[in-house]
Amino acid sequence: MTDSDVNMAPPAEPERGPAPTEWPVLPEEGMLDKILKIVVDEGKVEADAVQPVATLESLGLISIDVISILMGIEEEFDVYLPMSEELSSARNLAELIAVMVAQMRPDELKSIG
Amino acid sequence: MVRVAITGFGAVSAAGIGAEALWQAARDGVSGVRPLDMPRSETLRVRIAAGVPEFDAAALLGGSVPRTSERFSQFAMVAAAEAVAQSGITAEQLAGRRSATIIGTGVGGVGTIDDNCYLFYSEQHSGVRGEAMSVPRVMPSSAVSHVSIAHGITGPSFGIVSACASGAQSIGVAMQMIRSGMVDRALAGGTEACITPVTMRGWEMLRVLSPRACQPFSADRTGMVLGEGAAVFLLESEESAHARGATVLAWLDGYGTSSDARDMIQPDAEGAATAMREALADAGVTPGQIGYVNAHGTGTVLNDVNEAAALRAVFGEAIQSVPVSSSKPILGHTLGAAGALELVVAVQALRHQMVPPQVNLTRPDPKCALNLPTGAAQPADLDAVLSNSFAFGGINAVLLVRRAP
Repeated sequence: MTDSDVNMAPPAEPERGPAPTEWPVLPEEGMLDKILKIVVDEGKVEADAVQPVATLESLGLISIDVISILMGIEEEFDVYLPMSEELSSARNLAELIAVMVAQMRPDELKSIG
Repeated sequence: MVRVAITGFGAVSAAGIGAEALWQAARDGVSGVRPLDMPRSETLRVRIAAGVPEFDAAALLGGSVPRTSERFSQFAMVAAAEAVAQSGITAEQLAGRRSATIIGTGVGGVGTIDDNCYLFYSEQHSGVRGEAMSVPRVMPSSAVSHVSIAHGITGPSFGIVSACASGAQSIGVAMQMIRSGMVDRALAGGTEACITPVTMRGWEMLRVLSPRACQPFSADRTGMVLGEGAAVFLLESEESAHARGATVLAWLDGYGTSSDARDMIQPDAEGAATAMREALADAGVTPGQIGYVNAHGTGTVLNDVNEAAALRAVFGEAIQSVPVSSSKPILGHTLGAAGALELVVAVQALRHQMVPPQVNLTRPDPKCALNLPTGAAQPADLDAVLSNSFAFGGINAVLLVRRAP
């Protein structure tokens, strides 16, 4: 490790609560199953492996898979989900899905002027 | 070593026509991002872009617009004409073998490609004639050739193609060509006009376009906004500038470039830091002499954290005392033009001794932790300014300009 590596360490992240261990409660009946099917189809992962505490790493998902999943979400639910800080820092699948669904809310898409 | 002077510059951007319009928008934090108004774009999810408003090529170019030119070339021609006029160089002094034209683009003439594909693949348009001049319009070197033709420049002419580093690299290489003695002067910059429906869709699919605004270094950032425009500089050797009694507007003293050689999308802080260090070393300037950094600051999740980490690596804790701002909330991300347009902001900051603010910073991201001035532009004692450009594919280019006394 060099000096520059040390200097590049980002400032301490703000504390977050523990990562969720259960699927989030979603606003619509059947929505969770649709999203999980997109994860399985677009991410090309085994259905049994898709658990709330599964991580992208444990599922073998890389960034291009996440982009494909977000495209699947867009086509299924007619929403546009850009890559946000919350999405990119989700710690497991339950948290990822909770963030995606939160960002589908129309007020998230309003212009800030 | 031969020192390279900036003696003129011109711009076309979302702020309008001219470098002064661009500087005023950057200084006052007036965004050129507007609702999308474009045919055949109904199915796009993202409905904003930083397009050039009311661009009338015929009026700006004084009558005839070559049929072989499309929007990105016309932007470059208008910006180059402004740079030449500002510099006071005569047509005779500029023409000839001792001048170069180096103008980069990320994409080239995609507007003509889009139109021709629309006609060619659509059955309802079968038999409708496409653009006959599409080949000379589309080629990424079209802009540079048009500028060389317009000014009779018969020395080296080419464009550098390195995505979002194209503009900065074109200016950097032109500087090196002047230093080497290969030429005495160069028209150098970058141009882009790729706000087309299919291009927008491509960026949407990457999930890096924000549906609401570009918010560099903000925790709630959701991506970039596509922009368009061009900026062109007249660079001259110190000797050449002095020989014709030119006013030196700023010195182009440093250029650093590097390749991450890691990933097409994911940026690397070490690569970005290396380019900054090389620009500083090239100029013989220490980090402590840098009074302002015009950041690449795209507003994407990945870039901003990476750029902040690279800045910390180069400046250490002292980065907290160096104001940093990105012009992309105002100009959009103009890809191959970005390095050139943002160098206009850097040069104007030096000339006016003003630091332009970071706009759209609603909630600073603690992972970025930079000195991001908000509100009105701040007066500052600026001697040297850095301008960063980092491209997909891991290509980094950094330019350093210094105040001309």
